[in-house]
Amino acid sequence: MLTNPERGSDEPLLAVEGLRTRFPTERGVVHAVDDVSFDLARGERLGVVGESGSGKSVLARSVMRLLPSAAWSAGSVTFGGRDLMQLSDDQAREIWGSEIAMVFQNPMTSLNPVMRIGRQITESLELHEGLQGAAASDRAVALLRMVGIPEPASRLRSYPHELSGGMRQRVGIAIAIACSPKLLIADEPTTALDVTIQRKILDLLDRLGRELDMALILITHDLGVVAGRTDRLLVMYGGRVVEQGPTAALFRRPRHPYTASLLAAVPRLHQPSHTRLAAIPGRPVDVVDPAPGCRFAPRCARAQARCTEEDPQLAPAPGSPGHAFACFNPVEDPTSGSTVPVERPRVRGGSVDAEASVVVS
Amino acid sequence: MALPTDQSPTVADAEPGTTEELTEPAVPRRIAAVDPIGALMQPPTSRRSRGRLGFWLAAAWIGVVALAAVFADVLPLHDPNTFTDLGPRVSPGLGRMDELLGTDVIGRSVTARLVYGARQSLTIGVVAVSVAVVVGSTLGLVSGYFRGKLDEVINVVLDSVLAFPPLVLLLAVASIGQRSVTTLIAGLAVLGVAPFARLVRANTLSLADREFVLAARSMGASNLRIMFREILPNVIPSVVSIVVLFMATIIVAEGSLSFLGLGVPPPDPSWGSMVNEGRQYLRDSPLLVFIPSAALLFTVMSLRRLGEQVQTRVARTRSNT
Amino acid sequence: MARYVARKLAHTVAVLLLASLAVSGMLDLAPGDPAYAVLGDNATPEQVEKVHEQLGLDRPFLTRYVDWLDDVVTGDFGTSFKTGQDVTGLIVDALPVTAEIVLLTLLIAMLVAVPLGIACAQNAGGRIDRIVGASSSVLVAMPPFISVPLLAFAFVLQAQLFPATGWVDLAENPLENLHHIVLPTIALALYELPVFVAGLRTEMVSTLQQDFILNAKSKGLSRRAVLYRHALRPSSFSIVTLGGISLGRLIGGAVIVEILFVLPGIGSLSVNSINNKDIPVVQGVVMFVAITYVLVNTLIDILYGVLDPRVKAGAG
Repeated sequence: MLTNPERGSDEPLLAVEGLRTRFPTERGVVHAVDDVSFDLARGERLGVVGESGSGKSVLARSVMRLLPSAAWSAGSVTFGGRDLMQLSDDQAREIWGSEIAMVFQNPMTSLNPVMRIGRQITESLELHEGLQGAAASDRAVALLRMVGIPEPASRLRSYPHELSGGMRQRVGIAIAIACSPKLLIADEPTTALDVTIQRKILDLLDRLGRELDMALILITHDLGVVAGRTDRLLVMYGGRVVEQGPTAALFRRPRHPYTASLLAAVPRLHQPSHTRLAAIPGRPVDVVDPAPGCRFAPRCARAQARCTEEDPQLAPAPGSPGHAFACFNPVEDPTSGSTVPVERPRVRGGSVDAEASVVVS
Repeated sequence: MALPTDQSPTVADAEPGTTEELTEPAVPRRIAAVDPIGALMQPPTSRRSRGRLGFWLAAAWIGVVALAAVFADVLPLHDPNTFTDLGPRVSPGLGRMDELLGTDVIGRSVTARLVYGARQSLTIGVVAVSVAVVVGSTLGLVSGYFRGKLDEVINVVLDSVLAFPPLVLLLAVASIGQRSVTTLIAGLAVLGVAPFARLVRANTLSLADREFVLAARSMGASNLRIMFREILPNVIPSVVSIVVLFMATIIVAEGSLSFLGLGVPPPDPSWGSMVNEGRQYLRDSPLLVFIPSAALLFTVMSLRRLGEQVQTRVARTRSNT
Repeated sequence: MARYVARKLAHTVAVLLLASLAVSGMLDLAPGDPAYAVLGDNATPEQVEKVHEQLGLDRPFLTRYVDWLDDVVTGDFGTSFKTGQDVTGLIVDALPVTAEIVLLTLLIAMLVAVPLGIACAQNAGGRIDRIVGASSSVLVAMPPFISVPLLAFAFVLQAQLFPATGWVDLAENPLENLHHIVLPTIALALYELPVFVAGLRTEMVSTLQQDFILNAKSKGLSRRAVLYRHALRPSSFSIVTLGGISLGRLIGGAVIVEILFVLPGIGSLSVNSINNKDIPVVQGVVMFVAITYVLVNTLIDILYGVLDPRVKAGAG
C-alpha cells in the first residue's frame, strides 16, 4: 500500500496487494496471511519481523507462489509487470530460480543429502542459463568463491553432510544467487546457525545484494538481524502487518505496542545484571477462524474495548514519512507524553545507530 | 482469485517460521537385511485410514467362514470326501445346499468341501500360529533377557531357520513326516517361530534395561517372574499387532503346500488342493478353480484388513500411554 | 571393526553348518528308502543292501554328514542317487532358468512400482492413490498358485496368447524364451508389486515434505526433475531392502510357477528330488539356495552404503 517515497518514480520491482493465504487444518481454517500489501524497489532490502506463527514464512512462500496444493491464496503479486498469482505452474517455473530465489532456514534439511553440491548448483545454471559441462562447473566454482567457501573447486564434489552448518548455508545462498535473481527471499537464514556464523552470513547477504543489485526480503524473528541491514521493515503479527516503515524510524519511534514490546524485550548490555527481561506476556496466537478485532489485543497492555471489536487498519504515522501502523491506541508520541530517558541499545548482530526511546505506559 | 496449484502432497504445512533444533537429519532406518517378519508376510500395504465399510465387510466374511467351519457338522451337507448322487462336474444350481456350488471332479459337493476345507485351513492356521507365538515368544524372551551365550545359540538356530526361503523350508519339513495334518502344522509352526522370536527378543532387549525391571529385581523377584510378569505383558502388544496379519500368511502357506500336494492329505479337502484338483478341467469347468480361489482370496483379504486395523489400534493405544 | 566382521563371519558359518546338518538329518529321517527309488518297488533285499553299500547308506549318519561336508568344502556336492549325475552339474543346469524368472520378476516389479509409487505419493489420498491402494489389497492376497490358474484361463485357454507349459533356452531362441516366461513372471510380479509400491509411496511421502524438495522447486525445476532427480534417490532405500526380502519369497514362488508351467529350474529340481528321495540332490540344492540367500542379503547391506553416502561416512 505505501511505497517508499524516495523511490516513488521508479516502477517497484515487486508490488504485493491484498495478499491472503489460508490453510485448511483439523482445527479449522488457518488465516496464515491476512491482507498484506507492500512494495519493493530494485535493490531494496525489506525486513519481515515477527514471532513464530506470525505468518512471515507463509508470506514468503505466498509471494513466491510456492504453497502446497491445499493452500488457498488471493490477492496480487506483481513482479516484473506480471501478476504471479495468475501464472500457470510452467510460467512460474521460469521465474523461480532465475528471477526470484529463496534461501531456507535450516541448511541441513534444505540441501539434498544425496546429491553433490556442485550438481545442486549447476542444476539451476543448466536450467535457466543453458550452461553445460565445464562452463557450468566453472561458474559454480566462481559462485562458491563468491560466497566465501575456501577451495571451491574441490568442494564441488562434496556432499552436504561433509560441510559445517555455516558452509551449508553459504552453499544454499550460492545456489540461490546462481542465476543472478533480482529478488532474494531469505527465510530465517541464520536462525539455525551459531551466533558467530550468523553475522558472517548476514554480511555476505549484504554484500551480495549490493554487488548483484539484488533486492532482499529478510525474514526473521530476531530484531538484531534486521537492524542496520534493512531499509524498511514489516512487522507481522497473527498474519497481519501491524507496522511498517523505514527501519530507522521504527527503531527510533515504534508506534504499535507489539513493535515497542519487541524492542523492549531485547536485552541491553548497559542494563544492570539480573534485570528482568521485558517479555511479552501470553503466547502467539493461532489464527484459526479469527474473531474481529486486533489480534494482538489479548496480550496488549494498551488494549481498549474498541480493540476487540474492530479491526485496526494501517494508517500513516504523522511526522514520519513512509511509516504506517495499525492500532487504535498506539504508543504515545514521546514529545507529548511521559518518556523514559533515551537509551542506546546495543542490538545483537549489527550496529544500531538510531536511538530508540520506548514508551510503554 | 487464482488457486495456486502445485504437486506437493496435500499436507497443510502451516508452520511458518518455527525454529528447528540443530539435529542431524535422520539417517534412514536400516531395516534389517534379513527381516523375518517381512520375509514371511507381506507387510501392510497402507497405513492410510481406510473406510469403515471395508473393515465390516472383512469382519463379516471372517465371521461367516468361522461359523461355517465350526458348525459344519450341523449344516445339511454331504460328506465332503465321498461323491454325491449328482454326478461329476455339475454346474452350480439352486436347490440343496450341496448343489449350490456344484460338484467337483469325482462328484463331491463343492459346497461341502469348501466348508470343511475352511475348517481345515482355519484350524491349522490357528494352531500353527498359536504354537509359533508361544514357542517363539518364549525363545525370544529367554534370548533377550539372558543374552550372552544362550542368546548366541538361539540366534544361530533362528538364523538357520531363516536361511531358507520360506517355501523351501516348508517343502523340506513336509518331506520328512507322514503326510498328515500334524506334520503340516509342525512345518508351519517352525516357519512362524523365527519372526515372533525375533520380535519378542528385540522388545525384550530394550525393555530389560528399563527401570521397572530393575525395581522388580531389587525387590527380590526371580528371573522367571520378571520375564513373565514384567516383561511379557509389555511385549504382548507388538505380538498382537502382527498376529492377525501373520495368520493370513499361514493360510496362504498352507494353501500353497496343499496345492503342491504336500499339505492336507487327500481325500480331506483344503482350498489349496481344491484349486489343484480343478486345474485339469480349467477349460471346461473353470468354476472348480475359481470358487476355492475366491474363497481363499476373500479370506486372506479380510484377514489382512482386520490385521491392519489391529495394528493401527495397537499403535494408537501405544502412543496414548 | 575387524572383530565385528570376524564375529559376523563365524556366526554365518555356524548358521550354515546348522542348516546343512538339519537338512541332512531331516532327509535321513524321511520315510522311504532311496534304494527303492533307484531300483523300483520290486527290489529284493539283497539288491537293496547292495545299493545301500554302493551309495554309502550303510554308514552311520554323522559319518555320512561329515563326509558330505568335506566334499562340499571342495566344491563337490556329490552325485544323484537316481541318475548318477553330478549334483553340481544339475544345479548349474537348472540355475539359469530360475535366475531368469526371479530377476525378470524383480525387474518388472520395480520398474512398474517406481512410477506408480511416485504417482501415489505426489497426490497422497487422491484418486490414483486410492485406486492403487484398493488394487494392492487384492493383489497381495493372490499368491501365485491362485493367480496362475486365473492367468492361464484368460491368456492360455481363452485368448491363446501364451503357451501353457514348457521352456525354451534363452540362448537357443530368445523370443520363444520370452514367450514362455511371460505368464510365470507376471504371476510372480503381481504378488510382489503391492509391497514395492507401498514401500516407495510411504518413503516418498515423507521425503516430499522435506525442505530440500521445496528448495528444488524454488529453483524452477520441472515436476519430473524434482520427483525423479531429487525425491527418488533418498526414498529408494525401502525398495532396495524390499527387493532383498522379495528375493526370498520369489525363490519359493518360483517353485510354484516352475511346477505349474513345467519349467526346468531349481524349484522343479528340489521338488522332484524330494519326491524321489534323492538325498544328495536335495542336500545340494537346499544348501545352495541357503547360501545364495545369505549372500544376497549381505549384498543388500553393501548396496545401502553405496546409495546413501551418509551411511558410508559412518553416520549410520
